Amino acid sequence: MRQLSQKFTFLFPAVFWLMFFFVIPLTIIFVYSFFERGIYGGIEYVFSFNNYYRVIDPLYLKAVLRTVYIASLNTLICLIIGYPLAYFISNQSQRKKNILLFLVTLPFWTNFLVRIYAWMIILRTEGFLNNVLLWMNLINKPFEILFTDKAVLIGMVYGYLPFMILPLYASIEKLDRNYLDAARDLGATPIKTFWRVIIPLTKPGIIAGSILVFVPSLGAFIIPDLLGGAKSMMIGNLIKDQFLSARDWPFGSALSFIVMAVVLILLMIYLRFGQTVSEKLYSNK
Amino acid sequence: MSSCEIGISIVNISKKYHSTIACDKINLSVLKNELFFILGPSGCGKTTLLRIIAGLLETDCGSVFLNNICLDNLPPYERDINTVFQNYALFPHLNVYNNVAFGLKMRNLSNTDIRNKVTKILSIVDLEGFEKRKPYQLSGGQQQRVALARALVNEPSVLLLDEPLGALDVKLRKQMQLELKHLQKKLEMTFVYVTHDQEEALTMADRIAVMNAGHIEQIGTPDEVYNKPNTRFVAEFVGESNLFESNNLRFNNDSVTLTLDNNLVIHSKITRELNQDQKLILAVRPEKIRLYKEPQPIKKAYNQIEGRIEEILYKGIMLYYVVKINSGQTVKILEQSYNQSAPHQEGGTVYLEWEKENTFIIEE
Amino acid sequence: MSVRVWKIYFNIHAGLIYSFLYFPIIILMVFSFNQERINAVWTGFTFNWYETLFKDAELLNAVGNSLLVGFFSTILSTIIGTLTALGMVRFRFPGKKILDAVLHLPIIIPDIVMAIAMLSFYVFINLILGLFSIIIAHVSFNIAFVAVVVRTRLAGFDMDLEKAAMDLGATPFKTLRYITLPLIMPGVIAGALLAFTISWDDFMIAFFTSGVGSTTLPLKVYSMIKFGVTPEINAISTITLLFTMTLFFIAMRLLRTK
Ligand SMILES: Nc1ncnc2c1ncn2[C@@H]1O[C@H](COP(=O)(O)OP(=O)(O)OP(=O)(O)O)[C@@H](O)[C@H]1O
Ligand SMILES: [Mg+2]
Repeated sequence: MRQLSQKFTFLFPAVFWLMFFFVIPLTIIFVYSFFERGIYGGIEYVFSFNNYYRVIDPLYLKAVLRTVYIASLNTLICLIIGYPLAYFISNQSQRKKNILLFLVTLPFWTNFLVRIYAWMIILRTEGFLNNVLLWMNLINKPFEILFTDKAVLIGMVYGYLPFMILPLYASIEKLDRNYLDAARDLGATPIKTFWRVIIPLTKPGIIAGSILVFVPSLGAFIIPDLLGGAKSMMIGNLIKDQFLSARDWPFGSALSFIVMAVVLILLMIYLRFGQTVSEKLYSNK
Repeated sequence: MSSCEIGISIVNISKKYHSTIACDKINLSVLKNELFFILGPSGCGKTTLLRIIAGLLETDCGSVFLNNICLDNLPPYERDINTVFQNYALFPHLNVYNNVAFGLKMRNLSNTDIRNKVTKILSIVDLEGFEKRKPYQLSGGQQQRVALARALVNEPSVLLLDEPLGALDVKLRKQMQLELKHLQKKLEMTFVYVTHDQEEALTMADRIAVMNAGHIEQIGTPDEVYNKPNTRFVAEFVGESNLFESNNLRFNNDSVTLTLDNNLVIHSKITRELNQDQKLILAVRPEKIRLYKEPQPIKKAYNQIEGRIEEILYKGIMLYYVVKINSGQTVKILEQSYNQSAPHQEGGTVYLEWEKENTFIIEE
Repeated sequence: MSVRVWKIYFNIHAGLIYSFLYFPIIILMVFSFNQERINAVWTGFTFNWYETLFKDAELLNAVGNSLLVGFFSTILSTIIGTLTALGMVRFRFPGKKILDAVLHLPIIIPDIVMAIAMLSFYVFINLILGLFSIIIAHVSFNIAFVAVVVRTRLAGFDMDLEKAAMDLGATPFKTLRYITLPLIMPGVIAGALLAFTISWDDFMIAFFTSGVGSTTLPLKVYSMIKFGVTPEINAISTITLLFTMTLFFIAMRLLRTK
């Protein structure tokens, strides 16, 4: 009895709050995604799968595919440049490790909008990069990079790189150095050791990092909005438009739910079925 | 000494963790002002039992009574019981003074009262001048004394001690054992003291409950537990024993006779009621047996057997013999080495003798 | 020989990435003191842009709103998140795994999905959008962050201490007040600071769930950016960055205290 009332005190607030202000809202858009848009932008309560079919409409499919393409490319780039850094950090002294890791996480906790805005200053036609290149006589007229997919990609890598580095670091750090010595002892060259031993052993980190970068990339809005041009529409922009300008909430909801579904599937892969989130999060501590 | 009034009684307590049975229908009574020991190997459920008495753990079934009042619906903070935890559980953010004062503060005593009581108890456990230190600035022994003071200062009717001296070195432990015993008599408090150290239990206890795998094997005074173990477990866990087993068993009026192979006969006195359907084992402590080089005149009150020394080991001032007797089994014998004029040799024939009274009967 | 080449490569690589991470931030800060308004060339030092900020009533109002939202959402989410962390560590109950997953979900799902879900919900229940609606939404995801941080702290907490307190006569409330809370306080404060930073920095949810007159600082900055790149934005960005970096720094220090 005592236990029961205690459980209630501790857990009821969160259960209540998340029920009303998280689960129910998600349920609402889930339900909306099966309705249709009313004539004046309201909601027509008729059941259909139309909104999900519409995603294949070339008009929207392009944005969806671009999103997947950019998110994948971003994940790949983050992995390629993040891996050596994670490896580098894990080879430092404990003190240095802490500082270097802190420096990786610090930008992550600061204002995302502002950090992406900083790239606008740099990439603008009359911006820092062009001025420096002109001054160094490397180019003779400013080139256009802001408002292109390239700028979006730079912003993406910049914004999500820490998500890649941290899990990579965690798994490289756990690597038993004896394996490396054993591999070297058996005559493996450093490159062979890397491909045959280190990469397979750090696969959990690679998967975790990739998912953690890929997921927010799918839902990115600020980056394509600020750095991308009219042609660099991504799902995030599309969702926003459905809710704020086109007033087609059911379609916007369907798009969101597709993103959610991908996120949940990836999360499930990450948890390798059966393991709970907490076990994953707190067991290695 | 303790009175005959019952302080704590535990009725039919059971506790299961998943599949592990930590306490299995435990019944016992502790007298007022008694120094009561619970002795058992690691993992047998001692800590679990103490926590149930303190109210820190809910039971699956059974009840705990203190002065004949049922405690089952009383939360731990309303029980007149305090615990010295196995790992001390000192509050790391509070200094020694505040750790000790914690219980008094919870009872809303005035600051002067608190100060007086804390100062007094700290002088009893010899920790004056340590008030301002944090637990991590203390040695293991000092931490242990803080834990003791923190519990004692509340003057509970019952103090539960969970292997309180476990972390101390032998010398300090011996010294603290004496101090604790004196303290308990002086403060007239009921102590329930948990340990897995049989020597500690035998030297300090008024009574001992020997626990094994979640149940109580035997309850009795140190003398009873040591000299008259009721079960094989007690015989082997508390001290060492030579066990004699055979199907050839005969009951007489006041004795049991066991015949081993080669017609070796072991006698024992019956000192308690026995269940005659059960298998019985006779046993004797190694130090109760005397060794002779020549056959001794037959005496009615003695068991006498012949054997051959297989091995002699030195154990401090004691000599430890392994003797093979004619039934084929080996018997361990412990003798003091200084009363030997002519030492025994390995391989030599010897004659074992012990009083029938010292043979004890184990029910299986 | 080749080992040394690799070493040099790793050092350069790390140097480049750290430059990449901090370069934009530094540029932003430096240019917030630049006299030149349009072009990204250094023409001289000035505090002008900071001064104009303090005269911008709308901006100050947005800062006020952000502080309000941050304050209330932090208080609520810290209380709920701490209780949740304690509850999750202490108890077993049916459906624990589900609650565990739901609890962490707000961290992982893209904020735009969360934002439109909240918007739909508010419209569904006819709530008038404003600071209140932003606060509610912020609490929803901050509960998760606080709970994670406090649970990390609780991982090293000896549950016997609570038992000892109860044994000494402390009621569950007093145990929480005098033993548990003081011991996990660094975690709680760190969680609160992180919650505040997240709330202070949030653009997406405020973008969808703010109403008339409830513009927060990130919303204000966003509209300024959309209007055109100006040195005032650099100035306010610099202040914001330094503010959150300081909070984060303190939070990390706290988490490491023993
Ligand atoms: N919280 C728990 N969950 C599951 N099993 C437990 C738990 N606590 C104790 N046990 C198990 O219950 C049994 C009794 O444990 P208990 O702590 O009471 O032993 P003990 O006699 O105090 O041992 P020790 O002398 O080592 O302190 C052990 O087998 C132990 O593994
Ligand atoms: Mg124990």
